[in-house]
Amino acid sequence: MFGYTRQELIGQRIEILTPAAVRAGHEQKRLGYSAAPVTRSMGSGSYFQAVRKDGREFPVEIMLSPLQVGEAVHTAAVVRDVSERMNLLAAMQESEAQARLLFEECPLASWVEDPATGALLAVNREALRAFRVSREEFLALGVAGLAPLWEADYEVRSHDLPYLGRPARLLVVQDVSAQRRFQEAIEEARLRAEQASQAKSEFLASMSHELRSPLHTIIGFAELLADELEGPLNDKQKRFAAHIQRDSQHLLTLINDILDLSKIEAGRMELRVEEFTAREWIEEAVAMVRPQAEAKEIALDVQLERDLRLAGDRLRSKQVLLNLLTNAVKFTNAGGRVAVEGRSAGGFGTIGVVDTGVGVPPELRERIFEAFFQGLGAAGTGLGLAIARRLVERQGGRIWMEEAAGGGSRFVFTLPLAAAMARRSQPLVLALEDDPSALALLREYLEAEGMALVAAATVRESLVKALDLHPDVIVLDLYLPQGSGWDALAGLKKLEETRDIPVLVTSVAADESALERGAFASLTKPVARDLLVRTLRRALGREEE
Amino acid sequence: MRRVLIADDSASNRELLRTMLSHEGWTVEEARDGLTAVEMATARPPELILLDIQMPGLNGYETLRRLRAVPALAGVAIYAVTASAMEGDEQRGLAAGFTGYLTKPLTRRLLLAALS
Repeated sequence: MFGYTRQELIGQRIEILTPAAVRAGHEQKRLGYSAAPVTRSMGSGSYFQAVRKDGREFPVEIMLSPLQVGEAVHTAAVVRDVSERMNLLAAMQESEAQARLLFEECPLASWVEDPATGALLAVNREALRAFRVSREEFLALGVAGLAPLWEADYEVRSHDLPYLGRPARLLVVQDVSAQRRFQEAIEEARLRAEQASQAKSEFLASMSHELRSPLHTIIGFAELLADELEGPLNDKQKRFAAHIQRDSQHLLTLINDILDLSKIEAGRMELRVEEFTAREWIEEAVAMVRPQAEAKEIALDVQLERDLRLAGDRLRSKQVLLNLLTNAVKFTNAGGRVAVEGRSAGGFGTIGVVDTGVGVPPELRERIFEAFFQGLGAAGTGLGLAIARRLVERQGGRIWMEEAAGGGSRFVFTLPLAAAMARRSQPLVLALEDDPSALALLREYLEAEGMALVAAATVRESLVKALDLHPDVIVLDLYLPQGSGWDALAGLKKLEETRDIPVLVTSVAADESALERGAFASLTKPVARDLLVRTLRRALGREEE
Repeated sequence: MRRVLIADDSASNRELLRTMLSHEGWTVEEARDGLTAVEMATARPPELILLDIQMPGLNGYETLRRLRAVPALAGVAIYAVTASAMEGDEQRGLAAGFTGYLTKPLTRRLLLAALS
C-alpha cells in the first residue's frame, strides 16, 4: 500500500507514512494515545492523508487498538486505503450537485414539500422569483403559508419521491395565466361575433316589424279610400289616394329590398338549392310582368333550349329574373319587345333578358349593379340589381350587362346546370383563387379544354360552393391573404359530400405534404399550361393512357 | 250575422280591419289586449278571431294558447295578423296552431282572399 519493503519500514517512525505537513502534529497525538490506549478509529472516523514512498498522498481510514505484548502495550493500527470510496463519494457529490443545479435552474417553479408535516424542504430559484420571496422566507412559510401567495393561474404537477430518506413530494408548477388569457380572449371574441350577428338579426327583425306596422295602415286606408267604400271621392281626391297607394307600395318594396340586402350582407340569407326545370320557372316570372308589358304593348318572348334544367334556389333565382324582366319592361318604349333566352353552356345555364330599350352607356354597365345606383333616372329602389348580383354569385353564377343587337340591353346571368345536364356537357372546376389575373388565365386554359370554371375568393366561399355545386375538380391556391388553402383542403376532406372530389393544390413552393392531406396533386406556381391541363384531365379520369 | 273578434293594441289597425270586414258583412268585436280577447271569446264564441302577435301583456302566441284551451272555441278559425314577417315566422305561427298567418301590410284583397 505504501510502496515500501518490509525492511525499509521496520525501525522507522510511523510519521514516515504521514505527509510532511502533519508530521509534528501526528507525533503529539501518538504520544497522547499511548497514555490512554483504547480501541477506536483514529480521529473519530475521519479520513487522513497518508503518503507513499514515491510521495503521492492518498486517503486512508485508520483503526487503532492497544495490543498487549507481555508487559508492554503496543498500538496496532489497521489502515485501509479509501481512495476508491473517496472517488465514489466525489462522483456522488458531483452527481448530486448536478441534480441540484438542474432543480435550481429549472425554468419551472419547483419545490419539495413533506406531505406529512406540510413543511417545505427545498425550493428553486424560479419559484422564489414567481412568489417574490427569499429562500428563507419561502421555506419558513410551510405548505399552508404558501397557498395565499398563489396569485397567478398555475398548472401543477406533483411527483411523490424520497428526499433525504423521507417520503416527499416534488411540485412543479407552471404559470399558465397568459395562455388562459389568450384562450379567454379567443372565446370572448367568438362570443362577441356571435352576439353581434345575433344582434344584427334581431335588429333586422325589429326594423322590419316597426316599419311594416305603420305601412300596413297607410296602405290599408289608402286602399279603402281608393275603393270608395266610405263614399265617392272627387277626381283630385282619387288622384291623392292613388299617390299614397303607389308611394307606400314603393316604400314597402324598398323595405323588403333593404332587408334582403342586409340579410345577404350579414350572411343570414339561407339558399335552398334544388334542381328545377327552366321553362315553368321562366314562364312564372314572365306571367308576373305581363300586365305591365301589355299595358305598354310590349311583346314578351321566350326562347329556350329544350329540357334546360338548373340547380339553384328556385325562388331567389326567380326574384333575379323578375327584377331583370321588370327593368326591361320599364326601360322599353311602348310597342317594343322583351325576350327571355335560356341555353346551356360550359356547365351553366345562361339566362338572358333582352330588350329593345334605350340601353346603358358602357361606362355605367358595372355601376348599375351597385346599391342605390340611380343614374338611369327611373323610379326604383336602386337595390334590385345589387341584390340580383349577390344572389347569383352566392349560387356560383355570374351576372352582367351587354349591348343587345339593335341598341337595347341584354342582361345575362348564369346558374349551374342540374347535375344530369352538367355531366352531359362540361366538367366543372371550382378554383379558390383571389388573384383576378391568375383567374382569368385559368379560365382561358379551362375553356380551351371545354371545362367550366367557378371561382371562390375565400376559404368559406369555396366550401359553400363545393357543397352547393359539387364540382368535378377543385383547384386550391394554398396561400391567400385571408385564411389558407390548407383550411379549405382540410374542410373539403372532412365533409362527406366533398371528400371524393379531387383537389389540386397550387403554391409558390412545392409542398408534397398536401398529398398526405388528401390532395390529388400538388403543383408549383407558376403552373405550365400543359402540366395543369394534363393533371386536370387525370383528375377527371380523362387522361389517355 | 257572422261575428269576428279582433285583438290588436293599435287603434288604427283595429279600425282598418273593422272597416274592411264590416263591408263584407261581418259583425266586428274588438279587444285591445290578449286577456280581454280571451274573456270576450270565452263569454261569446265568435266564428273568427284575428290576433296581433306583438301586444303588451299576453302576446299573440300566449293568447292563442289560452283560446285553444277553451272547449267552446274548438273549431274556431284563429288567424295571426302581424308585422313579424322574417323567414321562419310563418312556420312558427302555423306550428303553434294558428289557422293562418297573415303578414302586414295586409290589403283588403289579400285579407278577403285568405278568409274566403
